[in-house]
Amino acid sequence: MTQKRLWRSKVVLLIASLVVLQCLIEAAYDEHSTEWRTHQEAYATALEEQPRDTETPGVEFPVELRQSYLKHLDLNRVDRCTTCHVGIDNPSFKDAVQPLTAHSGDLLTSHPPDRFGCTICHEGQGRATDKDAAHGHVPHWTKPLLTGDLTQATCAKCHRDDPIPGAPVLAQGRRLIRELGCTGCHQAGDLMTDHPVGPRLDAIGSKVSRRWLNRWLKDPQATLPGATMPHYGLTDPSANALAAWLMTFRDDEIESHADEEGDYDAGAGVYREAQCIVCHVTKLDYADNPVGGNIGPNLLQLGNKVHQSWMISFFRDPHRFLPHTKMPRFHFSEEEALDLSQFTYEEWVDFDILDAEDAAPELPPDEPEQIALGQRLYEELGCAGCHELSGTKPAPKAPDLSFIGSAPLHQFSFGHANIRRSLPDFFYTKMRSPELLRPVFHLPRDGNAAEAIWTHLRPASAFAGAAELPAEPGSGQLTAILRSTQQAGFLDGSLSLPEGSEAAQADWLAAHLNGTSAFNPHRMPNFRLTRDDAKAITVALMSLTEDTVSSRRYEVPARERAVFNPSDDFGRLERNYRCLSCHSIRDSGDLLASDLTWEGSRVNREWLYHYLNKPYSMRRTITLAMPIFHFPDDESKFMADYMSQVFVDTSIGADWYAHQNEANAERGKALFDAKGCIACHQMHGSGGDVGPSLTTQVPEFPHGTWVGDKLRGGWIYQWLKDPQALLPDTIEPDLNLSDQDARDLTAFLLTLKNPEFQKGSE
Amino acid sequence: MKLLLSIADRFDRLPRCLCLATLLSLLPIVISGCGESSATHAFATATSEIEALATEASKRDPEQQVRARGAKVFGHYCAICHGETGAGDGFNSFSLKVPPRNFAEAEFWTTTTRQRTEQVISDGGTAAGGSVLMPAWKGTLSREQIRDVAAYLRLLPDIHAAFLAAEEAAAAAEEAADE
Repeated sequence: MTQKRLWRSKVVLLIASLVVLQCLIEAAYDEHSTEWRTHQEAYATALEEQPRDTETPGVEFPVELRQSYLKHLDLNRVDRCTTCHVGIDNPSFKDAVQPLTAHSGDLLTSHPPDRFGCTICHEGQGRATDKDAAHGHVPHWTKPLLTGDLTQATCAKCHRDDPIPGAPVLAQGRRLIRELGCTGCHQAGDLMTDHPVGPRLDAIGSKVSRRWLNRWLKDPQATLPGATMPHYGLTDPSANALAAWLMTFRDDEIESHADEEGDYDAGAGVYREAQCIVCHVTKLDYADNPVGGNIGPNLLQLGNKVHQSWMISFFRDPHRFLPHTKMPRFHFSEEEALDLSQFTYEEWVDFDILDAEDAAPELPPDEPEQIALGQRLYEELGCAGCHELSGTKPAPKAPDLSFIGSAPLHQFSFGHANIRRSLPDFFYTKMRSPELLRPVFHLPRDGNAAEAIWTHLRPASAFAGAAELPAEPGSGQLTAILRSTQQAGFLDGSLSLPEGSEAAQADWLAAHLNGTSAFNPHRMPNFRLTRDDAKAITVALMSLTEDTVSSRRYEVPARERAVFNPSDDFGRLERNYRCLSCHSIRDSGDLLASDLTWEGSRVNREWLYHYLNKPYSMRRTITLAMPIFHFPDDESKFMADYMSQVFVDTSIGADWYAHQNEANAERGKALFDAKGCIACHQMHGSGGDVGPSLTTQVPEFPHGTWVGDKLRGGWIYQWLKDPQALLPDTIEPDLNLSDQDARDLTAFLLTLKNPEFQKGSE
Repeated sequence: MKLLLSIADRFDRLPRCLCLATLLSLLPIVISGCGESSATHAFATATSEIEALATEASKRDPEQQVRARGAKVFGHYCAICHGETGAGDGFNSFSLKVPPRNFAEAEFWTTTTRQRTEQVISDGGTAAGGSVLMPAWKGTLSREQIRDVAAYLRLLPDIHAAFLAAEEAAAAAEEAADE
């Protein structure tokens, strides 16, 4: 017996030893035939095969582990990526297949791999040498590889500037986070905005039509194409309740204008002078494409939305209603505002919508319970994150995004979304279809099923309406839940509980409610973003991480920006007329109209004063120009004086002022012809229309101004010498003119003065 | 695991330590084997939409990149006279006494060389006995940009033909829709 056992154990031991031996052999074999060896051998063969000069000897390419060791304190990493990606710095491998492909773009010249490594930008597991592990696609590795545009997320580790040159997708994402109002509910590091993005809602009841408001709350994008307000998935009853509450905010002063009527034609004149089309879409072209700017909202259905009485008050002082709007305060008289409102009301109205509204049954009067439900909804949905409204609580806090890019994966609920478990995929899905990520409700095995459903309903207080859950457990409770969720619009009103046991009924109810957003604890609405916008925000969110490099050797500090916000009289006028909505001054404002930073060095004071009073287009093919503001005379005088004295750079054209006596206008005229300037500029009725006319004729403005009236000699000289230095995007060619040529041409252009204008300004 | 322990139990009268040691030496291999297969399963799903979107841009081939760069320069500086598709019909072309060159004609490209094209872009129309209305761009564009745009110009006959075909198709579709 003992013999037999001993024999058996020997056999077992033998088998076990053989297994171990085989494992060891396999391990050794594995180690010898690793992926990276194959890749390096392929690379070496490709190098051999490359055509080269017979004189230069072939480079020896040893097959070995390669790594960059970044020993600096806060990088402290070892990247072995080049063990497989051997060709990243060899431009002749531009078209090779991965992993031998050369790095795209020219980033490696500014970020050499021996100084930066790879994982500082691309993430992944630098020390690993097999593909899945190195790319971080293994459990518990929190930072998988980033490729393509996603890599831009890591630029912000070192680059403090915004926008970062070379990272346009990141810049777009950050801009969207600010513009969409994400920071109304979320904290997001340095992306916070200083005011809410939506309009203030005080007096909303006197502003918009009730039917419009119902449609808008239900689906903003369908009501106004391009709307920023997201989709909350509100059901008809909840949208109606929210609208009922909002309509209680009224303003008697506005409604006192209700019966006034203006003159449509006079209003059309005001509309043209104010150049509304520069900022707003105000018409459709022959192919039904919208025409107009995108600074303000699309106005095409304004008459269906806004009451005329509100418009009258708004046109007179938009800043009272929308303190942060880009719209200027025009000097409209009471009569002009009334006429403009008449024009607006009749011109921008969709009669199909009006007819449908007339045909629809009249809305029943609002019940107090509805109004109360509306208020609860307003607070629960977080409307206060984007809108100011007196007497309401701030929006509930949403998760802090300041370091969301380095948050551990287990903190995120993937709901029933069938996507890869990774941060970028989560963010992208959250941006495109947040409802996919809502958690699935599971009925508890023990305890009262009805109470569990009731407490998980979101938000119990708002959607459950006024009904109370009956104290007696049983199907009475289930019926009550069914009724309130039907009332809130989550379930079809014709459904009723099936026959059967109470447990089966609870299962049925939970299954039906799981198909709706009734159990969704997240308030995140659907912004209906395009794929590219969702991608951009994903990149921006990935960039919000704790993982920043603070070493001076790597950090690229933010460029200093000169913000223009003076507290003097000019600043007051700027805030009134919102010049920076179109113009830029230093690094502030918009590039829609000319940059005013050096306006004083560019144009003559006399011309500026006339232009402020009566603006016109410099090109006969463009009718858009600055609005006619009807500035009071002291204001336009002051602005002309201020700009020509403050917005000055004495170095512009210094060479011209020192040597202008050497200039020869006749030679300049010859040069003007020889260089073909006439191809792009109008002069005395002939020439092209690319650049501004040199002899502007304005029918309504008897003087007209020519280039010599407008521009200062120094500016013309500097412009001719290097146009792109003054305006980087201009298509004026840099003709490499000599100093003397530029002087002569300047002298000729300065002779182009309109005798009429000269007479008028004397 | 359970299976292994139950095997161990059967050999309870054996020198136990020997048996367990063998089994324990096998354990890590078995476990790591299991772990690996499940890990690759969890992560070897198809590339996600966001990654596909992100790598799309970086996957363009070099010829396409030259074409994209050339198109950008052409659209910004040239199209205003030479037309969006190079047919010499830009909006400013109608104001010019000498009409701009029509690049969409395939025959034109048989009469000129790449070098000459680059020279005219660099030094202006007069460099090749043409009009002064074509300015010299060497002060504004880099040599690289001039090379890109010259390469792009040669593609214009095809681009223009594709544009005409697309327009025709759109017109036909509209007609069909009207009927």
